[in-house]
Amino acid sequence: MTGGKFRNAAGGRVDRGRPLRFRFNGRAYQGFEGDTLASALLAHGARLTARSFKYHRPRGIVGAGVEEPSCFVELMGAEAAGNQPITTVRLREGLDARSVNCWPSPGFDLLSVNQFVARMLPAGFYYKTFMWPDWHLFEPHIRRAAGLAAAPQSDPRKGRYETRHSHCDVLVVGAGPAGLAAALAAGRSGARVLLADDGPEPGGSLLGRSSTLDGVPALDWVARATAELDSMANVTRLSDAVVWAYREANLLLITERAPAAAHVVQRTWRVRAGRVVIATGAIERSLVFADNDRPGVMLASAAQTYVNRYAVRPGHSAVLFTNNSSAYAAAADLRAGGVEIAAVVDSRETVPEEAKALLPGVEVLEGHVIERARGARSVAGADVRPRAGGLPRTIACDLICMSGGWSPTVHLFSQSRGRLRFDETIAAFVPGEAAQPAVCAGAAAGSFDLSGALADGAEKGLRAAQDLGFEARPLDLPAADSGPGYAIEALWHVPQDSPSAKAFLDIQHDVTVSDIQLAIREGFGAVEHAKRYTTAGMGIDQGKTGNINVIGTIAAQQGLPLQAVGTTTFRSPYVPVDFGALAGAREETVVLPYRHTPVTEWNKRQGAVMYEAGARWRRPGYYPLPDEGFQESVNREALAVRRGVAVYDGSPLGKFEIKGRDAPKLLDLLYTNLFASLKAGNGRYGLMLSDDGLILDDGVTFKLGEHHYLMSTSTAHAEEVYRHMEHLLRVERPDWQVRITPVTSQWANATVCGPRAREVMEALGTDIDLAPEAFPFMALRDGRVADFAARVCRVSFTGELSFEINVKSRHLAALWQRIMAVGEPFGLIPIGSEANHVLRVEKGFLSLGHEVDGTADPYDLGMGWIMSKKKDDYIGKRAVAIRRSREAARRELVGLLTEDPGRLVTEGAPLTPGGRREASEGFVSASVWSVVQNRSVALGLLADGRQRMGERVHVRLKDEVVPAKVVAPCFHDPDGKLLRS
Amino acid sequence: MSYAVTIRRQDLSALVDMRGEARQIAALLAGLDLALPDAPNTAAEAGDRAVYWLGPEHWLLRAPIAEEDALLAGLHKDPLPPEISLVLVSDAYAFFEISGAEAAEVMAVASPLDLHASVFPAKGSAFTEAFGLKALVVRRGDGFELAVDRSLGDMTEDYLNRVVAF
Repeated sequence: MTGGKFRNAAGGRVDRGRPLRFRFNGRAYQGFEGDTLASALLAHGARLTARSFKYHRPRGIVGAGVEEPSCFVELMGAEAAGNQPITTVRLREGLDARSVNCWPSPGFDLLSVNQFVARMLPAGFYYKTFMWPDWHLFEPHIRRAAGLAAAPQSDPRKGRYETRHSHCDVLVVGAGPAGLAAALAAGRSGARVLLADDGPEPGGSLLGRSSTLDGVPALDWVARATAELDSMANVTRLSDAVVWAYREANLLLITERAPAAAHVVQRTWRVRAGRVVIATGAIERSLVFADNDRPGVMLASAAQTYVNRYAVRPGHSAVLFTNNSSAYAAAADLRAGGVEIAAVVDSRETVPEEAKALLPGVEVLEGHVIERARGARSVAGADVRPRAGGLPRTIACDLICMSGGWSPTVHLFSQSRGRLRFDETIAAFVPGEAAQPAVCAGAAAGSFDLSGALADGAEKGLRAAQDLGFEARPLDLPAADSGPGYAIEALWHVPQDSPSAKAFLDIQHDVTVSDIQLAIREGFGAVEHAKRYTTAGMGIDQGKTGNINVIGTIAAQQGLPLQAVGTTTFRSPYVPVDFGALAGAREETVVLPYRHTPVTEWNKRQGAVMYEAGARWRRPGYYPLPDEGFQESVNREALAVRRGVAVYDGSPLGKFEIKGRDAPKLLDLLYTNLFASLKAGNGRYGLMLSDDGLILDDGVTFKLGEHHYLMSTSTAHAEEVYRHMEHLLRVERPDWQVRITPVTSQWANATVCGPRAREVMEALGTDIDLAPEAFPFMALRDGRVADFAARVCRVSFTGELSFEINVKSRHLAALWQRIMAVGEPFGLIPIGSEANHVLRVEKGFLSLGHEVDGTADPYDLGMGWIMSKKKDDYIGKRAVAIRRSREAARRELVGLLTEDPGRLVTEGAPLTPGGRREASEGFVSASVWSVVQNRSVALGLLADGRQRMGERVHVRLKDEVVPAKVVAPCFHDPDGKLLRS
Repeated sequence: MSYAVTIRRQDLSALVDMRGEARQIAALLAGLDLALPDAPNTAAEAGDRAVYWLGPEHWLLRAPIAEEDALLAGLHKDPLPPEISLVLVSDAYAFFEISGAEAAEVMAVASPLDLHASVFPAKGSAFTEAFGLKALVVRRGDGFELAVDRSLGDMTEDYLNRVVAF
């Protein structure tokens, strides 16, 4: 059992005792526990594993981790997911995957014809289709051709996503050598440390190398360090957990792909950290030469990882192409693993002897470059020539290992708004000035040698803990063997003579050197413009291996230093993250908050149609009888209120107890009318304006006693009004002595309304004198109703006699049952918000969100009487005065009667002059079937409306125009005798 | 059940929202043999009664519901000065008990507050956020108590069940 003919019999970190069967593109394979899908396929000699995004060129595996730019797969079955980098898919029993962006297979892909029309698809071709002749011609074809895997149709996972909050003193990102050292230093100080690593096991780059520390394998030190960290109660270590976002105020997001809790599919941690040590290592860069995308062209470090970590030979015979010394160690490991090194092509004129010494007997071509990769579906050789020019010679090989140097993984540092600077010594952007308490360590800071990375990590971890007041001591660190060093000489691309040569800067999005050059010629030379014009650096890999070459090519073309070109913005997520991992448990019924009253369950049992009616309250819209339609139900309920008696649940109305010596001053500042004169036991309707003189809310406030008030607000604006009041008291009037307590949920209410409401109240039994003269409209009485302590208010939102019975919420369900029982002989029924809407429209009462649309002031609604002339000031007074002094036309509340009395119109429909397609002169704010008028009635806001009574106006609907007559905005009991009865 | 926790929606408690100067509120509480918490984000407990710090000059008094009337009577022995506000809010909150070895795991999902024992020890109490809602979080015994507006009680229960079960 070898797990593939390219698998070495020994070595690596795979468990040969645990074979795993899997399928790829319909074929059955076998790998081992510890493999990735990439390593398992390479072990079987797989080469052509993908097709490219734009040209559908044959592609293979380039990287060994998150940097993979070439090969993405779609997972099927229980882990269905699209666009997974093949190098990050852990092998498991029964894994079923297929290539994306190809049909029917990567070996025979119909859209590979795109390669032959490449000249028709230059940089920015997509944008050019918008210019001529008509982008609709192209759009369907582009949509079909573009894109990668389809999203799964349904979530097949068993379990939940979870998001959680976490806090730590020091967050260490990355469990490579620098990260482990940082975590040890901080952890030993006693600081709360969170160490997160995106791999399934710690070690970082050491997992793919054959490095030693103190003369023994470096992974032994990793094991010891990990064991010590795991023994510390103050250290939390996450594996397979990628830190993918660095937000404001040191908030970082981590997604754990395989949490220990079996029921959790993935878990996202929202971490607030005191200090952050970013030890994310570095990513090797590709080199840019003709056909550098052929299957078999691979990063040198990736090839090294396959042979060391997975015991897989990625080829028989390799040519190493490099511009630095680090790749010589990779080549030496490959050689030790059984891969022949056919030659080393080094673009540097002089290669350090210590580098060459790692590959005794291997031909090293100094000052040479690979001009072109040979082969189509797999590398067959490399055309090599002197960098200065000359005829190429072909070296036969089936693997080209490339190393364009290393880019510190500064993504998170940049996301934190830290600045980057270009370091000429290592030809890379490195962290500069930090914007948050974050620091990069090890290779992420440009320290590429093992000893340096360890020391840097330990120092940064120690300092992070000390900054927070912990006593930290320096670590005793093991010594690394000296290597050949780095000694890079930048090579951003190999110049090509052939105009048809395709040398890819961005392999994922098929962006070539000539694309960038074209973008510059067409005026998109700024790096951010070039990115958008060519799509370089976009997509799943976000240009991890190629961005620096794009920047270098722009710099070379424009004669600028790289620092002047700069980088594009590093954005989160660092790697693709499941949407589910962002949402966590917030799905289905809890996507949005919902609020219940004590009779919500009763309403549901009655078959009420429930929906949200402001501020997330679920309320009954109407209570349909069997075989009864919407309008019939609403008419029946509204008629019950007009002719008999009904009850509705008014619990959601906002309620606040306001106490304190300055409470009257607060009310007089908030409301436009006078409240200081209010007597105990009485209430007053008020309008509250915003600073700009527009209606914020309305409601009734009762005086309960000296310095003591009960304010009611609209349901929808209760929270906003509370914030408004608290802001006034805490910021603008901190010297006022007022205390406000929300009591919306303390007091629930059943409102009995209709001409027979008083009879029902009497039948319920109460010690409150209900006579009109003893308990008039706008009064409040405390007493007992149906044996419950109650606070009864005589207010009316329906225009009929009403008693609002407020009881402690615990009693409402019982009170409700009593009302239903006692009310039955009177024909009492429950009504929902739809009937309430009809009743208030018939009365012309304003409603927030309808007539109060954020642009109306009291005069607009015919309520100028509520603007007190006695008070010196109140919120919004001056703004209203200034606005009205302009004497410009205002939209004013009117009633509307459609010429066809049976015609209801859409609420929100515009009123336009003559019904023409012109700027509107108003809109329909409400339209209902009136049970008292037995016809449709509407309210609207119409320019100069009060001056246009009797005029004909036009409601412009999508397919027709409905004429209507302007009338007074009240259709029932205009004198208000009934509600005061 | 996926986490080792027990979640229980509690019956009503007697609750009084108390606002005013600490000196005056403390004097009122003294009559009930209660004291104010020593510091912000803590609670003071005496038997089955507790006082939670909710904000500057703002506390919540809690007792068994059977003591509601006695509590009010004890607090209102004399007319209250206008600068003090005592409001009965027993029905305004829904309390949940989240207890067990993994109570902190559930609370980490619910609340962004740092509930680690080193910063939120016994008697920790904070008016904060849970599931995006205003919430009172209290450390008690081997777990926590969580209180939200009563109208949001069903939603909170729904959310808690989603966190712990599937």
